[in-house]
Amino acid sequence: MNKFRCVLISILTFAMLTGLAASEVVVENPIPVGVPDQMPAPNFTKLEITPQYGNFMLQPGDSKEMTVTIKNKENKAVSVKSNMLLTPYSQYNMDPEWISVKPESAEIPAGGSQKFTIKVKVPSDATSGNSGAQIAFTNETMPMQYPMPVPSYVHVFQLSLDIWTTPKIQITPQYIFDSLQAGKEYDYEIKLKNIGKESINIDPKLSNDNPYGQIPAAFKDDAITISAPLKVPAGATEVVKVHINVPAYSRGSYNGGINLNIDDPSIREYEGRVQLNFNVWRQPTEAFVKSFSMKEAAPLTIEVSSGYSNPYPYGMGANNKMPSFETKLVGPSGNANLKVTKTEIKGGISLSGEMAPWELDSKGIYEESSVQLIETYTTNGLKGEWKLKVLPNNTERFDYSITIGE
Amino acid sequence: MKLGTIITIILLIFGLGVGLALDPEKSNTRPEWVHNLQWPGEQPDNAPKIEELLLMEIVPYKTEYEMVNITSNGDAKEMHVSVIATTLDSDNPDIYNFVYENNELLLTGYLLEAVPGRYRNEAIAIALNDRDVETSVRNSGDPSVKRVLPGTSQKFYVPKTLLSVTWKGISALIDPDERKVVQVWKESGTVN
Repeated sequence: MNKFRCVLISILTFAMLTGLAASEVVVENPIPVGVPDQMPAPNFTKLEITPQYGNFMLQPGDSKEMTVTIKNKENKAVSVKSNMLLTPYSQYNMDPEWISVKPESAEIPAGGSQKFTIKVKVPSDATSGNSGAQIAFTNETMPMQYPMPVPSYVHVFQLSLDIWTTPKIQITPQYIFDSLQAGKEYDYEIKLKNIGKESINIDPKLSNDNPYGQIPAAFKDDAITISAPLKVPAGATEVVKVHINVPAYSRGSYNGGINLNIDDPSIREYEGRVQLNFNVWRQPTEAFVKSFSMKEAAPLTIEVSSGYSNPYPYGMGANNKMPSFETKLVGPSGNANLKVTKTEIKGGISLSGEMAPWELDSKGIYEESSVQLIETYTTNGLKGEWKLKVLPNNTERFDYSITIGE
Repeated sequence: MKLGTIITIILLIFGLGVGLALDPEKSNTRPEWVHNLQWPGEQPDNAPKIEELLLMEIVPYKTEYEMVNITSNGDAKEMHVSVIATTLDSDNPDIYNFVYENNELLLTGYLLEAVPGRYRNEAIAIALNDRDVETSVRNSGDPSVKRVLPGTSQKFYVPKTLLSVTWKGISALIDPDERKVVQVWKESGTVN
């Protein structure tokens, strides 16, 4: 605590006492003053735990071990003893008996280190879910301003356990996210693979629990037709077919889902749902036209480039939409013989710039952030008036350049 | 069989057992979720120690590593170790960067995109259930899906494995177990 703060608190305390004495006011519930400043500075035992966390992903019946090393950075020997603490944030908790630490305790000499083997063994009847635990190696805790339900131990190893099971039905994909053109038809397939030993009934229906119901959809549910078998036999893969006939007048987006109604209690409700998100894309039908004139005959070079896009492919499967251009050049003698002389696929890799704070640990690792298609055309230009016509496909913007001469 | 021969055989078996137990290569047990491991470049002298330490740090997400490639540069005092781990069920690898110093391995960065298709699809579906995200990413193509390790996620939620679903300029942090979006980041600086 600095001198200024000490003086200030003393003056305030004196003023308070003086005021109380003078006015004779009875304070029934005095408020503690300056609690944080009065806490002693922490003086924890210098122990280094490596690693500080472990993430175990196990199926029921599986087990896994890992080694944690504690290094004593004190000038004297330190005794440590493992203490299991379940973290309260998750609804699902692991049983402390699944976890063992060997040795349970140790005397670590000054400057020395001790390895502990942490073993997690999940029983075969454990249910899926995520849970966490802390293994505290000393009883030293962080000082808290207010009482806390769970003490914050200083020398801890964080353990995250994710128990997962393979569902009997595998659904691919679990979402359909696409851009559609008004007036066109689209087909999608949802594959259901039964890896269980018994046949499983299904009854896919459009789900009307659309959370965006208040926003008018681009088209009504009757534009979507679902056809599917009644069951998926053991070991077989069946296909749920989704056909969309996008009305010519539609615009905006459609958000909903298909509830597959899989008759298998091990499938949680949300696991049996395929989400649908469609944006109705209006493909221009008329080409963009740029007029220009040439004062003398010269070679003409046209470059057309798409906007930068996400590196991951647009659309899905057969509906995969890569940018493309229909480019024409009309001159004094009619349509010019325009040849693509170069096709460029350009990428962008960002090593800095804004990114989600939880992705900052990937900063400095190469990651493609955008891709662009560039097409270059050449022809012999004659003196006179010219028109460049570009009809873009699957790109929200494009750029062009007209180079006259070499 | 003569007694001397039996004793000799027993001593040989005992000697072989002791020899194998002391073999440093054998003590470096590879976890079952790493099928192949190699150093494509020059292997440092302390490669077994580095392998031992990093195999405690790298874990695939609901799959197994088919190949783990380790490269290193720097000197014995401070060595940069890069790990690229690939799986059979994802086109994208897991990339880890470490610094090896004073016989300790420190994770300095990671880009973990080896998320099997099923879990990738699930994460995207969860992100799209968020109205703000859904309206912001229309016509944006498919997002990237990256694993966020507990050491990072504890700053934003709780110390557990999360998934980050990111389109250009917007990212949703997903808790795959609770099937919910725990935070949304936008390039404009908004974090919800």
